Amino acid sequence: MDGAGGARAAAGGSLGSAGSLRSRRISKRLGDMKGGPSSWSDIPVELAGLVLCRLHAHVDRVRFAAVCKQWRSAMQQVALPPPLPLLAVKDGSGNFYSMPWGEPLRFPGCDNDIVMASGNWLVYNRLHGLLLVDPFSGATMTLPTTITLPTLPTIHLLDSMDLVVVKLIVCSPRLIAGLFKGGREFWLAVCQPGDSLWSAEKLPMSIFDIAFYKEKLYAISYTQDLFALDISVDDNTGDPQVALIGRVIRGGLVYLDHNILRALYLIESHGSLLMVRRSIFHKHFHGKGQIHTFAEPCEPELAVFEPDFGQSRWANAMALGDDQVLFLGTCSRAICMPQRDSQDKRVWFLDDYMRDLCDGETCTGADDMGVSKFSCPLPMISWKGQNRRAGAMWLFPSN
Amino acid sequence: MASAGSGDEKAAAAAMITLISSDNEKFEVTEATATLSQTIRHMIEDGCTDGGVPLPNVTSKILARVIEYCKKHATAAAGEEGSSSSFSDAAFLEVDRAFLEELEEFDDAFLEVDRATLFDLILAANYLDIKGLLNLTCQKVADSVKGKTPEQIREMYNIVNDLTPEEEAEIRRETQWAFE
Repeated sequence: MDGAGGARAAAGGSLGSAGSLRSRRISKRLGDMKGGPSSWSDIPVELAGLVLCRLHAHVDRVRFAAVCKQWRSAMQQVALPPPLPLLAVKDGSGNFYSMPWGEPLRFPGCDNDIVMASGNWLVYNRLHGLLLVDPFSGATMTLPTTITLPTLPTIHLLDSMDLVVVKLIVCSPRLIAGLFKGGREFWLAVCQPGDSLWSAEKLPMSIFDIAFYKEKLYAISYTQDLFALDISVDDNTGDPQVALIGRVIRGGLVYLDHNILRALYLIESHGSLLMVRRSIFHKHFHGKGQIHTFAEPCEPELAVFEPDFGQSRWANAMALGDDQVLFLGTCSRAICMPQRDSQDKRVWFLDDYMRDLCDGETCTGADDMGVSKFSCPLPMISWKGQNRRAGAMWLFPSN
Repeated sequence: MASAGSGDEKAAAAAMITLISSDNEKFEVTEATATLSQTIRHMIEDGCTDGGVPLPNVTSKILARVIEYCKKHATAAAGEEGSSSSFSDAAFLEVDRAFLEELEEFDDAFLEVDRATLFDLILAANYLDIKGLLNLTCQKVADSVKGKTPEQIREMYNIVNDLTPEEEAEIRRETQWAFE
């Protein structure tokens, strides 16, 4: 089959025997390409893939695949990095904004009167419990309405004004984890979709964020203490259960400067659990929510740590992988973006901090030190700050 | 075995390669320019470029543009190497930045072509395995389709919609939200 290709190579110049194999391969390629595609509609799939992986918005990929047969088959055949998230703003407009450019999109049957978003799921409060909807596929899940707390009677979630769900994680199709807050206390609970009951464990401190990492749950306190929790399955009922293992990192963060609020986020990046710490100056709290971006994790406003379990302390993370872009909010995620543009921002925050979150009373000029390195890429998108019950959430399409 | 002595490298830099387009036009280029193409680099390493390199599916029009790109980028690469030893760090950075800016301007101007030429450039960049040119041209296409509807993209690229009504219905059903 490659006889003709080999002959063409030999005609091209004096051919040493050592190089003949590779030359034949190259020449075969020369031969193969002859009489190649002549129109955009029959661009080779591999080249269409090179264009597709430069489209970071899910909506652009979907529209690309709807142009013609060949482009559609490229979308089906090429392995693509995950797309960037959409922003779900709880403003009642029904709009979801596609990153990075903020194009507004609508999902039939999905308003944005959501409790929150988690991964590819929108979470709604319904009469029969929490309803999870994947707006991209239309799939749904229903979560239990009651929760058993170890030292208290069973609480019906919908009747309780005191217990609110702060964050949900869809760990797997059969395991959901939830962070609940009641008064000053925090509870971590697990359930299976379709179950009637959450199984909960009380957390020893006020919790900023939780993460599911290597089959365990982790919770980070305001003081940067990290707690690990084990998940098991009840032999009789098959229901998941959660149990506190203990404090695995001693954070010991002391809040000395009341002009600064610290927000902590747990994320998984390249197989490691990371803690991102954001320091926000009082002056920047205005109750209005906006997307703020940083070009790089730049101290002192932004620092990234990884756990050193052996020493029970946080260590400075050496560097984020070059291809990693962080989207931080109530439910955060690191996205792998190999075809990153040099102008693309590395770290995206949903900032809607309220003044009353801080203990301090004064707002001095302490932030006039030239440390505000964030920018606001989409100023037309804003929302009303809702304190800890954030007014906007990232929604990550499943690839 | 190819020797890697510095004397040989200098000699190689001055060596000329002849590229022959599909319409039989001959282009004389330096080896530094030609080896931006991995395909041609391998042929040079294999010693099979005497008498010229036939490129049966690149027309003279496209080959001329590709060579223009390679010349510019080969010069920039050589300039960077040469400057590193003779400037202080600050001056080097300044020169480096100027090079990059000039190169970016060149690339922008280079991409001011019609859609048919852009298509031929992508095919040529892929076939000749010129990474920088392939990245540049694919990025141009990606940028041009961002935020556009399938219909707008078809119009822009002169594409006939060959999807069957069944396929169209399936697309609408699965991803209606993208076409609201």
